[in-house]
Order: sequence, then structure tokens, then C-alpha cells
Amino acid sequence: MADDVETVEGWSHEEARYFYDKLSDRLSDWQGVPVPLGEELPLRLHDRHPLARLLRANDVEMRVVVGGPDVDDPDERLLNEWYDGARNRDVLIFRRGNGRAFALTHPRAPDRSMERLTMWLNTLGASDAWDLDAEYRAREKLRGLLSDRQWRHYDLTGSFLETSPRSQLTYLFRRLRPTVVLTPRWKWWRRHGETMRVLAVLCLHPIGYYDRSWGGCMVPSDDVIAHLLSMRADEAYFWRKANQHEPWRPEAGL
Amino acid sequence: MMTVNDVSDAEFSVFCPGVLEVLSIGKGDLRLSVGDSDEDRERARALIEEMLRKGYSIFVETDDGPERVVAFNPRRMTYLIVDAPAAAASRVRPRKATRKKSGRRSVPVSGSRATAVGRTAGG
Repeated sequence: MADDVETVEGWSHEEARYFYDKLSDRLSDWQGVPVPLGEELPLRLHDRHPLARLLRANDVEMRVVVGGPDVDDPDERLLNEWYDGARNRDVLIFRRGNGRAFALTHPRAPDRSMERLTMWLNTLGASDAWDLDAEYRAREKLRGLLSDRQWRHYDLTGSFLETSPRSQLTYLFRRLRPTVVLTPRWKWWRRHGETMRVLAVLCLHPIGYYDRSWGGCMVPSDDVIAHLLSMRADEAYFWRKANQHEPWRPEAGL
Repeated sequence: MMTVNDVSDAEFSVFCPGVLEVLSIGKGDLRLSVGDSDEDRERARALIEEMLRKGYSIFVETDDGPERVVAFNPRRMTYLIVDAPAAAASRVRPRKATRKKSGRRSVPVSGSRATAVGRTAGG
């Protein structure tokens, strides 16, 4: 069974999930303790989480790039990185232990498909942190919040639509992807009939998420519940708390 | 035999416990029931105050749908929510440019149904 694969600490993923669940009971931490998945999938927790500093210390600060960092130099560090849109590449600045800095460039696929594939595979990896029974319970709760048609859409496709009565914006809530906000208000609307355009892509994970993936610390349907309740209860709060991704970026999941 | 008058004079007392569901990593959906005893109320009071202090978002069901809890009154055991104007009214442009200050409304914890979500990390 895939779930019996040993983690770095010598535990199976099931054992690790059980341990962190019991730890959260011991600490009376109702939201639960995030399950670390090793250096390959570092956790990004909110700044005030008690484990945020501890888990950040385990992050990999060095990237393996062809012709890049010297793995034998323990003092070598990544100083800065940015995306060079004109040449469609990442630029990384490293500093060696002797103080000398050097730059590396990392080309991206023109349509950024490889980044999407990486995020997809990392999301598969993040599933090791999620308990199946927890997902089933979250789905039951979500079902109670949705109409029959919305639930049918979610159950069959992993997404559903809801229009806000306040703003008249339509939200496409998706499992394991950010929420897409659609608006009918655009200048060609009348000319082309009932078409919509993407206004924003909103990403929000309670507690934290696994870096370079679409997976959060919580089971996927719990993330959807958090999006839905935030939108229904306080739309401005939802927009304020969520990160906005450009629709063309891999993080947007479009 | 009970007459119509007897029925109108009768008093019924039904206690509805408050339900606070917490989205949890290991459990998916953790359900906490707030009973009517002093001990239960004290435990719930401490729990809700701790959650709000730690940055949880609490969404309580109202007749107008879920509303976000902005504060908690421990003495009265009520959630405080923003008394937002109705959706239809909010689309009407006010004649004057003055912004009306929104008030707060209280929802008793007892008998309510709320969902708590941990502090968000963005994404």
C-alpha cells in the first residue's frame, strides 16, 4: 500500500498523521497540528503559528540548478530570486561561503506547463498529509451547505458555482485549486450575450499550505468550506485575506 | 381533558445547545456542543475567547445566512456580528456622501450553529 511508505523519520504516513492528531489533542489545539512532509514539500504556515519558525528553519535555502550551487559549501546561500518576464526565465543570485556572489538563470517553458505539472505532482505528494476519514467528514459538512445542484457539481467535477447577492460576482469554488471570481460586467457584455470574464483568482488556506502545490494543511474539502463561508459571511474579508494570483500564473490553476 | 385555553396557558421549555464546529486537520470537522450547565458555559466561554485571540474566524448561522463573528461578549455569552445593510439596500446609491457607521448585532451562543476556521496563511 502506498500509505505504508516510510517517511524520513521512519514512520509511515499513517503513523505520522496519527501522531500529529494526538499531539493536537494533547495541546488542545482544535485546528490541529500540521503534518510536515520533509524538505521536498516545505510547509508555509501563517506568521503567528507557534510552529512557523521551527518549520521554516527546515526549509531548503539552496536550489539544485545545473551548473549551480556547490553542495559541498555549507555556507552557500540563495540571496534573491526573481522572474525575468522579458526572457521568460528565473534569475537566482547565490553567495558562496567566501563572500563572492554569482547569478544563475533557469529558463521556463513558454506556456509554463512544466510549473503546472510540478504543482500537480507536489499536490499529489501533499495528499500524504490528509486523512481520508477527515475528508469524508468535511464533504458531509460541505454537502449541508450546498444546494443539490451545487453538490452534484462538486461531487462529480470538484467545483461548483455561486453568485453573491451582495456584489453579483460569481465564484467558481474548486477543490485543490484557488477560487475563480467571474464578473458579467465588461464592455462587450451586451454585444456578446451572457459571457463572463475572470476578475480575480483568490487563494486562501487556513493554517498553512505546502509550498509549490495547491494543497493546504487541511483536507481539500475543508479548504473549500473555508472559502465558501468566508465569501458568504463577509465578502470583503474573503478578498482581504486571500492572495490574488494572475489567471495566467501556474498558481492560479487555470 | 385539555381545552384550548389550557393549551395557550401551557409553557414549554426546550433547550437547544449551541454547536461550534471547528475545521480540523486530523479530524476534518470537530463538533463541540455548548451545554446549559455552568461548567459547560464556562468551558465554552474560555474556548471562544481563546479562539478569537488566536485569530480563528468564526462564522455563525443567522436568518440572513452565515455572518462573521467580530467579537464575543463573555458575560452575556453572545457572538457579536456586524449588522450589515441588506443586499438590495447596499446597491442603492446614497443621496449624501456621508458613510453610515454600521452597528453590531448579538447572536446568543446557546442555540446557535457556528463554524470556526483557523487563521489563514494566504496561498
